[in-house]
Amino acid sequence: MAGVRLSGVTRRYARDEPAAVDAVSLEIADGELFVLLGPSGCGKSTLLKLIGGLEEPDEGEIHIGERLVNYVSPGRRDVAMVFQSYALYPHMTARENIRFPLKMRKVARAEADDAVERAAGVLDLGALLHRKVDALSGGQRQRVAVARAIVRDPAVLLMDEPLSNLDALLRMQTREELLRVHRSVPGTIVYVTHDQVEAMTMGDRIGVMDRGRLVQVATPLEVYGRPANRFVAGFVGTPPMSFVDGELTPEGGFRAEGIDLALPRELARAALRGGEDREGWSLGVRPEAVQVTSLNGGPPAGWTVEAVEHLGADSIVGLRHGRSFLRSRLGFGATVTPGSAVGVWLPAEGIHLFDAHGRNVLA
Amino acid sequence: MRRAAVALFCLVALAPFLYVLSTSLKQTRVLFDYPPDWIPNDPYGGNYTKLLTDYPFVRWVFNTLLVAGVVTAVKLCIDSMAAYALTRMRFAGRRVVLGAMVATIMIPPALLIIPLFFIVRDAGLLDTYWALILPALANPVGVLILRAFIQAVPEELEHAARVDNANAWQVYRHVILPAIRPGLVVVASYVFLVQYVDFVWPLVATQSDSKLLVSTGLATLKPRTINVDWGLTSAGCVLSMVPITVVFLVFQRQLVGRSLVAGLKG
Repeated sequence: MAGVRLSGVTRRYARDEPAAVDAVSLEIADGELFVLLGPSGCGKSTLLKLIGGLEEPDEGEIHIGERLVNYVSPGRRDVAMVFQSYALYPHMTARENIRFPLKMRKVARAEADDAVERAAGVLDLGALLHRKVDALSGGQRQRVAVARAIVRDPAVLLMDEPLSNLDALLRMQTREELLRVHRSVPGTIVYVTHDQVEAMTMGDRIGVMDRGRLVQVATPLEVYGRPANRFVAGFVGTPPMSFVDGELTPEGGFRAEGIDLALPRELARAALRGGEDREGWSLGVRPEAVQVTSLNGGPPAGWTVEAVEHLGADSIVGLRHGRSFLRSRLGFGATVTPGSAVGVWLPAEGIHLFDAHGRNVLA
Repeated sequence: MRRAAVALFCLVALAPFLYVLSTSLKQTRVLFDYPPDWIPNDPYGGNYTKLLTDYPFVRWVFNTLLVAGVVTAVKLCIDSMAAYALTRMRFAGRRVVLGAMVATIMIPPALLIIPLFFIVRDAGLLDTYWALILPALANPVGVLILRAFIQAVPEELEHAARVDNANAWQVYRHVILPAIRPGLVVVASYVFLVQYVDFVWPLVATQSDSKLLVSTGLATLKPRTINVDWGLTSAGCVLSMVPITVVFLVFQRQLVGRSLVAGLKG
């Protein structure tokens, strides 16, 4: 068991291209389930491979536990990996697959048999062990891949989008199962995903990556509630946070098309402290923080309902005022019709303010 | 319509073979009877007896199987290893080596016979099995075929094996080789067939009767009489097809058997 420490880790595939992983420093605690979240191509899988030793860093140091592993081969790092495609050896049975890491480490037969049975037991694979890989369903293959990874109690378990090939229902079940495995088999897990639901539900902490850089490391609720910048704010949350571009008023308010509000005092002070430039700011509001007022009989204020998406439990309403666009989440039973004129009210606690560089003023 | 086309094709392909078969079962003097006797009503086995008793036909087959077998086995080993290294390992000169391999394919084999003869003679290997085996190993086609198969093996499989503590040899042995099995069968069939029918080089490289192959051996049947003994020659042709047919059936079973099982279970 061990934590993972990265300091200034950089991986560059070509000299004239931006780095795939750019000076990432990060400390993952022993036993933590750490999620690396980001869109495809953000470098999260590369970072995982760097930890696993499948890629070599151009700069920086990687420690697993107290050991510097930059030049240690993947097999000697005491890590295991679950791949997106599962990467099961197709010509072997499930049992042979799970046993393979032990065989490559010359573990004695009886001991290996015990370990295979134990890992298979954790993942409920007992009846499937004799099957060839191509006789297993997607979910079963996924479980075999996890069993193969945990069979030798690795210090760090690396998972590269392990659920993305499963259908929605199976994904939810497997998510719960992975959490159960994590509780029953102690060890650090680094989990890569582009699915923010997975990240929110599974991670002890989330590291959000954007274009090779680690832009925020925080607990799921913090990432959601206090996103470090516009990118994180827009990436985490479904439907995403809406942004309205506008300017600050000298009195500490925010003005844009259809919006003219006084910022909470703390926010206004933080915003105006930075500099004199009051242009190029944007306001971010999550759909659940946007309230549509004319439903309560208030005066319409120039906003138009552009689109309504009924999701069952709630509805997502698109609201437009000139160039400004907001999404609002309305509870079950609310009825609005596209085209109707409404007012919008933004409660102070739901407001995020981003400066011209996209940084969250308060984060 | 399609059936008719297939039937016509079969007829065109099979007719010469059937004619040879028919000839092999006749005495040479009745061959030129008119009208020809397509199906001999009194099959004559003398040609086969003569071939097997008066000529070392069995020895030819043994030599051929030995040479082709050794060449095929060795080529599978070195070609698959070379292909793996050239596909998945990064080392200086990789592209040059690949380019050189492709370039050698462009040289017509006939052009190489004389220089090759000098090399083999200077090495003192003329008229040995080595003369038949060693030059055949230099053919790069197998490497290029297997390279294509290895490229199709997902890289994640190899990554998984490396995380599982497999070294390069173990990755090759436990992951790559099983995954490219169909490719190995293709290369084995190809190499074996090329060796089996090769005529010019064995003719140049060997002299003694004990090193005759099926191809060069059959050629000795002709000039011994003024009138070519067509019955005997035909019998030799028919018999020479037996070993290669058996080998191909075995290879084919390997190829088809595998994929069918996978297809049914998947």
